[in-house]
Amino acid sequence: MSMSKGEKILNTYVYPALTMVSILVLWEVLTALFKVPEFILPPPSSIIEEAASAIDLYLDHTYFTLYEVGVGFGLSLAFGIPTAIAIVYSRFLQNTLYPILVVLQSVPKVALAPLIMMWFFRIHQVLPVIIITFLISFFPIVVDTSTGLMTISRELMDLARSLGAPQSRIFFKLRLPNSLPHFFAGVKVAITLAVVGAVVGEFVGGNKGLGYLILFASSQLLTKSVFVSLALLSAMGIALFALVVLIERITIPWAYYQEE
Amino acid sequence: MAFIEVKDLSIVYRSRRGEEITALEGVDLEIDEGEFVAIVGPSGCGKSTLLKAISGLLRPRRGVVRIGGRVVEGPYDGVGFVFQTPTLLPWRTVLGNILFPIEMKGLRKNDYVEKALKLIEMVGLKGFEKKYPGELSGGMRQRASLIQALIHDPRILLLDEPFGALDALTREELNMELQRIWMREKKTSILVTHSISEAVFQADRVYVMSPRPGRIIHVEEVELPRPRSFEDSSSPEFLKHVNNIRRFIFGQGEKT
Repeated sequence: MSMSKGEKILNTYVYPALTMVSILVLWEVLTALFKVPEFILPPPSSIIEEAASAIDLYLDHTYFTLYEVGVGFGLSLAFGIPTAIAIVYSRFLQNTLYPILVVLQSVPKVALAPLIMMWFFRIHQVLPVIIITFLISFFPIVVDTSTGLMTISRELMDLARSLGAPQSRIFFKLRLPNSLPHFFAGVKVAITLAVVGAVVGEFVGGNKGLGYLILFASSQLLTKSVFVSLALLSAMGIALFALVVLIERITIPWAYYQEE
Repeated sequence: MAFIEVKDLSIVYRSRRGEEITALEGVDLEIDEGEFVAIVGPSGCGKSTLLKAISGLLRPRRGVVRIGGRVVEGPYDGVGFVFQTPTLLPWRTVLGNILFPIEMKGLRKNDYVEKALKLIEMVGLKGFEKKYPGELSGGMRQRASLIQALIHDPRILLLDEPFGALDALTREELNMELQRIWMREKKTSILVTHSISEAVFQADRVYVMSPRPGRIIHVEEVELPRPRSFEDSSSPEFLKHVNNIRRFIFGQGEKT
């Protein structure tokens, strides 16, 4: 199937954007038509108005959540990558830690949030939120990175061994670059989950951030405010994901040749 | 004494379930420097295992491999390997891939660039030096793998079903290419293949192996003049060799 460049732009950008705009217009018209009360479903126009009227407040909460996501996610990289390498090089860890991690990955970390809150709240108020964010994004990074480091073809390993290459060279020239596509797959999942983790953390025990704002605003029936926070949260999630994709495209352009 | 000498070689490995499986039993080979030999046999007869044992990647349970009079005890560093799946790294260009063995050996890459470019030209990949493997056809990838195995000027070329995954036409083309390379470089070569006619086409001598545990059950000397062409493969002499080998593989030739 071949598409012209113009067609491609239409399909990937123009049509989705038009759909989005139509939905907003429809939303605006229907809420007015049926006189839907603002605390149930505010029209897009008043949501935008609300955002503009208190932009500093919203941005302040956005930065705070972003900070939690950044620290939690950063920690998951800092601990996840070495753990993955250790698993790959230690038969013992491969038989003990790795299966446990795979099982733990399917445990809903969100359910641990209250417990983590109880344990760490007294040390620092933001600590539990960061730990939840860290935990939720740690698993995909460890599992995908170690999978990437381990899935190397037998032929390549034989070739490297027949050339007398030492382990360190095999790691840096073979295993590490080979693991990058898996690693990025893990990072994409992790960054999305990190945002979820921060919001859940704020739900359970935060006093600042977009998650906290959503909880607080809905308790006061400030529905407009909830929607503004939701929009900012979505924008943050999308932007972070796009950033990862961009870094991926720059670091491993070759991974895209294979698909074509 | 032969250049490569395999004496009473037996290889046993442990399966996942812990059973011992005898892959090779009492294999003897003698290959002179510059010879081209082929090994044919049914799937799972240990052909690839034999190549690994010769290169020192596998330790024998019994018997010995000698290269140039020396017993092989660890990975022997004078081999070039070509496998069925191209050993090209998707993150390296063709040129970078050809130079990969040089880096693995810890040699200076720059000293080999010129040679790599020559090899690339030799197999008709000129103009593709900067392409990534993902941008090449299957045949081109295997050509690149072929010269990747030659870059460090190994004394022995080990070919493990190198053209097994290619379509019939590309396969013929690459067989011609391999013959050309061999006639130029005269590297001692061992080709493992499922294709009897490919074996006869390439080799001075074809070893026929039995099903597991793999043993050599027949040695077919092929004295057809080179260069051999595909038209030759319908000649009576060629077909005589093919049929002889086939009889041994299918178990009807043991008495002759």
